[in-house]
Amino acid sequence: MTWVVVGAFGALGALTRYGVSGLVQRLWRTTFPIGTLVVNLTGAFAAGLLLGIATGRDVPDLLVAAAGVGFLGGYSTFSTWMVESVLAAESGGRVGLRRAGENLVIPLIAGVAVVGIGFAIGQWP
Amino acid sequence: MVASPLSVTDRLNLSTSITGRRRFAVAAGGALGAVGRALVADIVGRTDSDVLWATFIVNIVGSFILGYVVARHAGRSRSSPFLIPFVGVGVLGAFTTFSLLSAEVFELVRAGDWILAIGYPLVSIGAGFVAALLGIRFGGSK
Repeated sequence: MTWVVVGAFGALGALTRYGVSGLVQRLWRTTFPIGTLVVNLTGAFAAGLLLGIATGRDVPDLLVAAAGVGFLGGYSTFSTWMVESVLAAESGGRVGLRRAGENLVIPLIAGVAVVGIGFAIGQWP
Repeated sequence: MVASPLSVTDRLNLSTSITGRRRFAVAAGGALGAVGRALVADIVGRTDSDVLWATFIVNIVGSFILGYVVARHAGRSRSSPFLIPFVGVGVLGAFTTFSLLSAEVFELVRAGDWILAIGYPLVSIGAGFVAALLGIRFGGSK
């Protein structure tokens, strides 16, 4: 049962990422891979929220499987982030390397920060 | 369409005319990827410390394969138009995870485990970057 739920919500998460990332990248006129960043940061915020709600409370396992493992796991992505960083580095010289470095470090720090914000909101009250 | 040389989304031409069949390929791949990640977590992540290994493994393996698939098939007319949406966006996008990595680092910070809280994400992005680079190199060579 859990596997079916994880699969169904994973499909939904991947589909949402496909839509959001494409939309954001089209609207935002930048060479920075902003679509993946927006997807990952909103996903991390939601994960923090879920963690905050679940910590110290009795939350059904199936809800965590559906929302956390399925949807948010399927929604956020690490592999695209890495490949985009390599492509940034390969886009040329020092500028490319600087862009790759920014694209690796900024999401990492921002990701942990938004988990913290989500967690604090989820713990309330 | 906005030219965006750095974006996989644009390079894979995902931002134009998203068809229903492509969406279906993404969803089907996403289901497989999410279940695959949960399977690895089930097999590897038995204890709290092993959970980090489960996330690390899916992220590094997924980055290598995505690099390979993108270099080999993106923008190639001979490749099926559903291959990248299915394998790249769907399976590998859902198999790997950013939200879980961030949440794990946050929990390490909360536990005061500063060595792992700094070391684990740095090793993850270092290894992930190298894995994606190797995948692209292998995929691009004849």
